[in-house]
Amino acid sequence: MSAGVLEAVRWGAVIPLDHPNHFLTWGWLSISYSNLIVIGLMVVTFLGAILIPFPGHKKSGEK
Amino acid sequence: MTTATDKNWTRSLRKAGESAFPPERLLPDTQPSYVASWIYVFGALTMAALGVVTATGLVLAVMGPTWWHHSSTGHFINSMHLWSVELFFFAMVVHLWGKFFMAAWRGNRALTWITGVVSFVVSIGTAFTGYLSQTNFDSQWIATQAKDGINSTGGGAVFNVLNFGQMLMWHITLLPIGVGAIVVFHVLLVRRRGVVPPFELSGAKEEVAQ
Repeated sequence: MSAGVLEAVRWGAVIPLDHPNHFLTWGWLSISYSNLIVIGLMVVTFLGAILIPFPGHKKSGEK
Repeated sequence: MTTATDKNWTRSLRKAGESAFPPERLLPDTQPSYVASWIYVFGALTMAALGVVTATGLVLAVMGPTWWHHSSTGHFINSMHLWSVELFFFAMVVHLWGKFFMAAWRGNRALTWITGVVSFVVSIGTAFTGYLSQTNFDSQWIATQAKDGINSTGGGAVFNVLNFGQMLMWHITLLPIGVGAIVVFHVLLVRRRGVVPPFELSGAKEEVAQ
């Protein structure tokens, strides 16, 4: 294991975070991959909250 | 003829409270059928995360802002504080998107929407002052970057991000009191006005009429 990973394990981090962030740069847009992933997860969660049926609930007309 | 009891402010306040929030409205045990959707869960999730944020924040306040640097228990509590804040904002944003696309300000619910927006903004301020309260190089770097932005508004005269004591006090007293008060008001308004109903399907009225 590298020294960085060993240090991360010593401090209990699953993913080593002690390094500069990586950025997606596209024209005027500049966003870190970590922020982009979180925004993507929020969009997926939002769509899931709308599309996934709520357990134990029947739509009107269903028997 | 008015009597002394008519002018009693505690009696008037009680009457107003009972009228606005009868027990069955304050703590309802049923909801309309359209609430049976995952999108209605995220407001409650936001409050649950806020509960963990508050509980872990209280422990950190008892032990002090540098505790988490030299104690594994402190590190654990600090991590819980951080990740519950992440979940708080995650759930709040999904809740916000859901309410935006429902146009949740309909039906005399404008103040409910506005208090939600204000609580979001105040929460961001609370989180930012939390970054400044980490007592590490990260917080020093953020403070030196933030000072130029704050100073450009003229706010630096009363809100000095380089003053650790001031930022810690804002983070653990003023802003949490603000968030808590607004969230309580927001939830009371939801209880008062009820959950916003979905939009009617276009043509639904005509079908019923036929």
